[in-house]
Amino acid sequence: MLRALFLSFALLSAPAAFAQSAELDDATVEQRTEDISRTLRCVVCQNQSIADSNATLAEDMRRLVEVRVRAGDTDDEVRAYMQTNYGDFVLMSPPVKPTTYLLWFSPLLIVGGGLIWYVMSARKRAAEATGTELGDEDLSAEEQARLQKLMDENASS
Amino acid sequence: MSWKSYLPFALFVGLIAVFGIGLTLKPQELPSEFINEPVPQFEIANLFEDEPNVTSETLTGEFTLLNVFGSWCRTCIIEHPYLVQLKEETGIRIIGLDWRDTRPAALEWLDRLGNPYDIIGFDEHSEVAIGLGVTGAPETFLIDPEGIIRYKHVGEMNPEIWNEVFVPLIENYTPPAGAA
Repeated sequence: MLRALFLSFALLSAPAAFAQSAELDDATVEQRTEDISRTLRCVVCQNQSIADSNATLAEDMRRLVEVRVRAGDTDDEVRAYMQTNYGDFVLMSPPVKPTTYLLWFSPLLIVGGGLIWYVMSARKRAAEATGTELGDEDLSAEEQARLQKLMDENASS
Repeated sequence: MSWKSYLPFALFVGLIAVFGIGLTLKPQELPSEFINEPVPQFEIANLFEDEPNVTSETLTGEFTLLNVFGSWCRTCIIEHPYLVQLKEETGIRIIGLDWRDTRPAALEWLDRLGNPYDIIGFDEHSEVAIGLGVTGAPETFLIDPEGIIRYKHVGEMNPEIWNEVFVPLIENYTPPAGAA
């Protein structure tokens, strides 16, 4: 009896709960459609998002995004749907995965490589610079004596 | 001069080569995500309002060309006579997807140019087109009897594409084991 009561209660409240979560107000739908559209590339005018593009296909893609948002898809689910149809290309920001490592990390490689090159060449220059300025320790005892002699001669003349 | 002094020039030549190759690519022609994948499920109105809806099931059973067109599409006018000829010569089933069109315009267009299509779906708001990853018209899909997409051609159909790509795909088809 208790179980039946509980079950009927659950059954009665379930649609209400569902309706509540599924009922999105227009402003939210509009905002989410806009946000998702900004992350999807227009496949006709390829450097614009479908939010920016006036292409008719972009218009229909926005429509479809809205339909899916209204139907209860999460943002990621909408993007995944477009991705299955059009590939990674349709995402304005390409996913990080082995085939796109070069794309994502080549700037780091270039900056890192440049830094390494700079540090190494700077060290080399520094080494060369100290190499030309000989200190006392670079002269042998014999050379020291000769230098002293030359300087003494210079001072006395 | 040391080899290092040629480095900027070598870089320059390298860049020119990269850009040169880039110019020969066609970024408008996205590779299809559906090659060797089943046709995504869909159901859409028939262009002829008194005829039954067109579904993904409609596309199975025999080798089928699914041709995306529209009366607004200029290249479609160019390819249309070839589709008519292809239908006459080979009898292959051609299913049309009238994309982003109006019914009167499409019907007038078919009256004027001939109708090579067995069935035509009417995709006013790109629902099926987006589901298939269509980016422009015309596009022609080759679908095998199992409903698997074997090829997508972007641009006009012509004898070269038909003979060099479509015919070999059809001739080399082996039905999967267990199929009738």
